[in-house]
Amino acid sequence: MPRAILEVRDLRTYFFPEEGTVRAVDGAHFDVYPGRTLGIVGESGCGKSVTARSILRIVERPGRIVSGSILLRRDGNDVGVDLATLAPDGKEMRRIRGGDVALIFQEPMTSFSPVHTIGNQIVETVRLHQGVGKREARARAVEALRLVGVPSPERRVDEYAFQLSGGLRQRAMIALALSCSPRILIADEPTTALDVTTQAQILALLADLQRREGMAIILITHNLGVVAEMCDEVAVMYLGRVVEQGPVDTIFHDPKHPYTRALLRSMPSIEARVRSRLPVIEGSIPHPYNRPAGCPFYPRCPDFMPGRCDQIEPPSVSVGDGHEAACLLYAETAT
Amino acid sequence: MWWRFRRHRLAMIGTAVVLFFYAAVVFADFLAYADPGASEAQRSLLPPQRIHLFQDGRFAPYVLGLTGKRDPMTFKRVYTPDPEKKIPVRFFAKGFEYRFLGFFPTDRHLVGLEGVRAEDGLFVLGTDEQGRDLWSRLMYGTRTSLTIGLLGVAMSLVLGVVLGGISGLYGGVIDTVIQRVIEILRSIPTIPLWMGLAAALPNDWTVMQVYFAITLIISLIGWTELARVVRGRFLSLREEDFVMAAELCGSSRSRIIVSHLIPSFLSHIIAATTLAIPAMIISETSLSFLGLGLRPPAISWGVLLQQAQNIQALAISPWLLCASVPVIVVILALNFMGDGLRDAADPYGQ
Amino acid sequence: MLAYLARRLILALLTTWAVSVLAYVVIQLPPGDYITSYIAQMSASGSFVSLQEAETLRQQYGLDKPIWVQYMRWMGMVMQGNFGMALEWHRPVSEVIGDRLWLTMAVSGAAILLTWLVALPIGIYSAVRQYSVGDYVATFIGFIGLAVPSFMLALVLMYLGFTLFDMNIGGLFSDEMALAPWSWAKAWDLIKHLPLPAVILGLAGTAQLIRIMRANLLDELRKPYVVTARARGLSEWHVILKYPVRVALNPFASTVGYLLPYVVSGSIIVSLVLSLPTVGPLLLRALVAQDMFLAGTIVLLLGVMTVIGTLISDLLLMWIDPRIRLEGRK
Repeated sequence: MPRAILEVRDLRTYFFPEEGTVRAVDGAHFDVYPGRTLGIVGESGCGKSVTARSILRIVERPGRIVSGSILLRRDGNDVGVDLATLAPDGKEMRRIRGGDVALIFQEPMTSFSPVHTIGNQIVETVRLHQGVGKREARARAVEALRLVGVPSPERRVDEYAFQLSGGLRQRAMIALALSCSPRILIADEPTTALDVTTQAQILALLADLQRREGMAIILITHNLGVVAEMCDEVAVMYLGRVVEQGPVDTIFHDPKHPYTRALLRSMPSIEARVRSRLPVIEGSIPHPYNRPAGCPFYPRCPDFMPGRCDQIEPPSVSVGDGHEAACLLYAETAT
Repeated sequence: MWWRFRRHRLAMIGTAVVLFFYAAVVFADFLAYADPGASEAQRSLLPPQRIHLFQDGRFAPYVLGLTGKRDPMTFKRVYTPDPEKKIPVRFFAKGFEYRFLGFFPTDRHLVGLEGVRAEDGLFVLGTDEQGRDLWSRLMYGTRTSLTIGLLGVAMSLVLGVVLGGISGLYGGVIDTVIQRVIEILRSIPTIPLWMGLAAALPNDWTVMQVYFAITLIISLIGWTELARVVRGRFLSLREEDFVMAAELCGSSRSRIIVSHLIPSFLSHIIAATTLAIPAMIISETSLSFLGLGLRPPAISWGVLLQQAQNIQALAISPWLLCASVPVIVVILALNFMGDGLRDAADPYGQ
Repeated sequence: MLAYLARRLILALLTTWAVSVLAYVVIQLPPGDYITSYIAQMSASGSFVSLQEAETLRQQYGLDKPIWVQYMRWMGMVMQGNFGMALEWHRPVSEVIGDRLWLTMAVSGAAILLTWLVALPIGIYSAVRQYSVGDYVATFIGFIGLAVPSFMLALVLMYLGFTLFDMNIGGLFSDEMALAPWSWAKAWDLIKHLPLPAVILGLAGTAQLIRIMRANLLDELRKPYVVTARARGLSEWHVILKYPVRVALNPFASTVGYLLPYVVSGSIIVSLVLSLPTVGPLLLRALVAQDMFLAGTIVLLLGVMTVIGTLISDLLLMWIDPRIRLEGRK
């Protein structure tokens, strides 16, 4: 297996509003490999989006990265650059942002400026990262639109976001992100706002682009079906922590962490008995100011071990080939 | 909604100040100690007096009496404080007669001097050109200005609710027409118009007639804003999801209106109305300052400021500007209060 | 876009018509008519006009016709540039008004320009650096602008200028230039004297605009397209100035439309305090002296100039916001 292009180790991003500290990301770690897709799943509020923003160093005040490392390896050279140490608004980080790592959002309508044309925004990015003249940049913008399957790109490039349909807008947003040929594409819930048909199209597009450009994709979603379809590796997050990660098949067929198991159980299945109740995870996500001590999941865990789970933060241990879980159930048996 | 309002500290301070001022309106006669109309040429343009609080170590407030000396250059009598004459200041002293709340005749005032000559008196804020005590005039001016503000905004409110309501409820042509009218009124400089209206008031009208006419004129200034708010509320309330939800729950039409629409509506209107009062006050003050609004012997902040128009006179007697202080304070207070009310009514938008 | 333009034009025409009606109402308000004032004037200077003569004069001037006919006649006169006679001055109204109207617009225009130039950057800074020292200072200035009526501010400043610096801050020209004919030197003199009245007039509007800009920008800064722009690697100030500011400018530009009448109104009173040779003091005198043609004309002209100014700002808005330009084209 080639070396990881992105290595996140023990990332902690906290927010410090007046009311208290919110530990949005509390020890995330995962690897991203070139040409492969990593899926990050979890319920709303588990810190997936903040992780993405932390990688790009666009976490808003009053939040900031508190500790951890984000190692980016371009071109497979051994020495990577730790994004966590760069100045967020500095030249190098800005070069990486959009140039090496790009981000696309859930809601394409609001991702585009309402008062600038799509072309204007793509050209701006291209000129910033690739240093070409206006005409060349415009040509590349048109090419990017063509690549994502926008019909008549020469015309569309001068239109505004509100003039496009939902699916086309999403494609345009992907074009915007890909215009500078990034190594890594982070897609934050790219299909949640789309209908099922368009969803399929966009996913196919992403897979196709990945094949062609060899770029890595981090797919952030709460939709396990999308994960099963698109991803090579999966990281499951809960309350800011990666509780389990591994190859997609392993996670789906042999989940180890109680949370992952509960998630998979709660998926509606075509094989379930008719009229049976959908299993749900007991309890609800605790308030961010009220985090439980020890393992974050223990109040809702069916395998809760009193005296241990509420005292010790479970470390992430290996439970198989390339498969890790952060649960005290496996802590002893691991080497 | 009230607890949200309480959280807004500035708004609470503002409300306290406003209430304090309106209390002064009621107690104006009591707080004043000199007849506001009593002019005394000898006391013209006296500077504010120092009230000395301690006499031989005891708390016994007093002021210095005045001695007149003839200025050798101008041959005019010049009055200066005389350290020999100590006149005690009493609380709840007797002064000129008035009727408290219009009913109870009394002659007690908050402070006062007893039994003094014409030239001696208490002049906390000095006197104006005619020798009238400015503090007392300020008290009465406050009463007039604040009540005009209130009356004006009430009339504006009526106009605004009626026209805005019709506009919002019926929509269609009526709405468009009224909207255009409002837009036209907003697009033209209105002060010249109001000046024209005010100037047209016949000179021989009584003070009361002028008072009401001016109130009417300034109410014409502010109604457009209120009408817009009312109309906006009506329009949005018609579409509100919760109306539909309530209907789906089976509430009857009138129940919806009473228990849902009216409270939301009211809180916005109250906020908008509070925010409209400062405009009224400024309008009246400006008009009277120009001489087109209330005229002497009526007293309002604007009338008081009229004497400050002459820059030379002002340079020598800056205390003539004293009326500007309550104007600024009240406007600020009302704005804070209104902001707080508005935020409490709808924290998410306007 | 054309639809928008047409709408604004029609509205402007309607407004102008409304202003003319209102101006005429102002003219007609005081009891009596032109002839009555004329008679009063004549008798004050010793001559006597008999009732017979009065009637003839009335018929001559068409004052016995119904009021709307009179209005039409007056409008006819106005269109030809004839605004009637100013009674007190014994000169045509247009002569008496002379430069003053342009000076009024100059002061108002300067106030608005200043407002934009000051309110925009301060508003942006306030929103981006919320709760900083600069933000609090801006808020404080905002309060002053909010609470102190412009004429009061003028009074206080005049007083301070007089006592502390021993200078008279009123007037739009230095003494030598005041009566001189127009020249570049005079224009420069005017520009030198404009800042202070412009600041006084504009403070209230500036305060309001700062608040609006700050609030709008704060809303926009949270929106996803700002994050997207940042995610593309643009520098922070580039991101802010190009995107959310541009969007937040829209309501800003539309408020300019209502700023002009407000400022023109304010200039009337402030010019009185500061003794500026604008239309304000003239209007007051005219109203007090019941010189109605002068007063009415001033009202009319002020209204018309304001409408024109508003129209210009509407064109500006159209240029800034592409959503209006493309309206109806999809």
